Amino acid sequence: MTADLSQTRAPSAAATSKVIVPSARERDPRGYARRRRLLERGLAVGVPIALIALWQGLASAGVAESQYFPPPLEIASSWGELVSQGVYFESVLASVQRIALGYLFGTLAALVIGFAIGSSKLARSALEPTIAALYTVPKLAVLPLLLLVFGLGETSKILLVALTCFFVVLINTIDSVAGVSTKYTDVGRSCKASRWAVLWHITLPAALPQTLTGMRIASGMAVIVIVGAEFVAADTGLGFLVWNSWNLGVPEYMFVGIVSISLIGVIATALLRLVERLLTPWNR
Amino acid sequence: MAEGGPVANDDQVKVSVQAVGKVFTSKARRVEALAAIDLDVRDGEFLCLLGPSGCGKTTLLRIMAELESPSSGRIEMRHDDPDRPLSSVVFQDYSVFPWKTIMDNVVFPLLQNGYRRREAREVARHWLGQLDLAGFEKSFPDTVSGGMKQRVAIARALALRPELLLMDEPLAALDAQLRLLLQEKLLDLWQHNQNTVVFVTHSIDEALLLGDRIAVMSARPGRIDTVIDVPFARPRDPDEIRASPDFAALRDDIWHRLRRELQVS
Ligand SMILES: Nc1ncnc2c1ncn2[C@@H]1O[C@H](COP(=O)(O)OP(=O)(O)O)[C@@H](O)[C@H]1O
Ligand SMILES: [Mg+2]
Repeated sequence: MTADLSQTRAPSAAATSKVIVPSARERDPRGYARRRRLLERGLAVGVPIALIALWQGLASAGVAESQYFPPPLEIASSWGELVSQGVYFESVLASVQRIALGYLFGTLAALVIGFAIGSSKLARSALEPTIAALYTVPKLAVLPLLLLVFGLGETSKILLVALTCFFVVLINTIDSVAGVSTKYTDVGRSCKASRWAVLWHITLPAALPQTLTGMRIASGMAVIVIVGAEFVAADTGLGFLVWNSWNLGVPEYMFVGIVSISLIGVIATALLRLVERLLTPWNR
Repeated sequence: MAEGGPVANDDQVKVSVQAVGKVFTSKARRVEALAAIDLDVRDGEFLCLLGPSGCGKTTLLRIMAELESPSSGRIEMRHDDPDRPLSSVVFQDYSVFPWKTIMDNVVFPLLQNGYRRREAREVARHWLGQLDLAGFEKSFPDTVSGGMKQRVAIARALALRPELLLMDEPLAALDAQLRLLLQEKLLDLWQHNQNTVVFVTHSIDEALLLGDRIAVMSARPGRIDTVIDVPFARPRDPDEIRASPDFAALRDDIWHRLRRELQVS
C-alpha cells in the first residue's frame, strides 16, 4: 500500500509541466484588434472578389455555359455600354425613386400607427388579428388590384412598396412598443411624468432597437417587391431591364440588372445599420 | 426594550395605512398578497419594512407610490410642501434607463417636476457627486457596474427631494463590502436631509442599522407582525452599533420572529 502511494506521488519520467502565460492577443490587444479588423474587412471584400474570379476562370476555361453565364469581364463591358447609352442611370433612378418614396410613406405611416396601437391594449385586441391576416398576404399578389385602381403609372408601384414596408414595420413596432417593460414606465409614473413624456422619453427609446430592426428588414423587402412589379408593369427600372434583356436574349444585360439590384439592397441595409448606430448609441 | 415612543398623534403621522389588502387575480390564480395592513409612518422617521421574500413588501410600497391600487382599505398621506413632490421611489431592480446617460437619468424626473434644464443639471450633478458618481455623467448605465447603477437609481430618487422616500431593497444586489459602504452613505444622507423614509429590506442588520422603527411582516398573506423601536441614538456610528449588546439582542429577537414565520408558511 505505502509503496503504491509513494509511487503515485513520485514524478514519473513522462511528467511535463504546464505554464500559463498571456497569449499573443493579451500582450498586444490593440495590435490584435487592428489585425483582426483588417482581416475581417479583407474577407468581406475578398470573398466576393474571389468568387467572381473563380467564375471568370471557369467561364474562360469553358466549364460554364457562357451563353447563360457570361464571364464577369463581359458583364462589366456590357455595364459600360448601358451606362454610355444612358439607359443604366435612368433604370437605377427609376427603381431607387420608387423604393425610396414607397419606403418613406409606408414606414412613416407604420411608425405612427404602430406606436398608437402598441401603446393601447384595447387597440391591439381589436386590430392585431386583422393585421396578422393582412401581413401574410403576399403583396405582389395585390399588384393587379393596384394596377386596376391606379393604372400603370408610378402610383401603383410606389403604393406596392409602401404596403410591403408598412406591414413589416407595423408588426415590429407594435411588438416592440407592447413589449416595453413596465419597470421603465413605472419610473415615469412614479415621478408624475405626463403621458407624452413617458411616450417620448421611455416608450420610444425602449422600443427603438426592435423597431429599427423591422425597418431594416423592410428595406430589403422593398427591393425585392419593386423588382417583381417592374417585371410586369413598368417600362423603366432595373426590374424592367432584367425582364427586357430576357426578351431580347441579352444575358449580359440581365446580369448587370441583377447585380445592380443586389447592390441597392446592400447599400440600403448599410444605410439603415448606420441609422441604427446613430439613433441607439447605448446599444454599443 | 426600547424607549417605546409615545403613541403617534395625527400631526406626527405622514402616512396612515388602514386595513389595506391586496389581491392579485390573474387567469387561474388568486394571490392574496396583503391582508389588512395597519401601519403608521411618522413624519421624518426612517421606517424599515422587514420580512421574508414574497410577503408583500414590494406590493405595499407600490401601493404607497400609487403604482398599484389597494383591493381594500385606505391610505392617507399628508403632503406638506406643494413645491416638493410627495414621494419618489428607488426600485428593487434599479430600473435605470439604459438609453439615457447617467446624468440624463437623474435629470429626467427633475424636468417632469418643473425644474428648468440648467437647474436640473446642477441638482443632478450635486447628487451624483454625493453618491460618488462624479466623472460618470456621460456614461451609459450598461457600461458601469451593478453597484453604480443602483447608486444612479438612488441619486435619481433623492434629487427630487421628496417628502417621502420609498426604497425597495436598494442594496440587496450589492456585495457585502459595497453594501456596508452604501448603508453608511444612506445613513449620512438621511441624517442631513430628514425626509421620511420607508425602506424595504430582508436584512435584519440593515434594518437595525438604518431604521428608527422596524415593521416586521409575516408571510403570505402579508400582515404587520410587530413594530419594533430601534433604541440607538443618532447620529449613528455603524461600527459602534454593530458591536453593541443591544444590537445582538434585537437581532436575536427579530430572527426568532422571522423564523417562526418561515416555519408556519
Ligand atoms: N403583479 C402581480 N400579479 C400577481 N401576483 C403578484 C404580483 N405582484 C406580486 N405578486 C405576488 O404577491 C406576493 C407578494 O409579492 P411582493 O410584494 O413582490 O413580495 P416581496 O417584495 O415581499 O418579496 C407574491 O406571492 C407575488 O407572487
Ligand atoms: Mg420585493
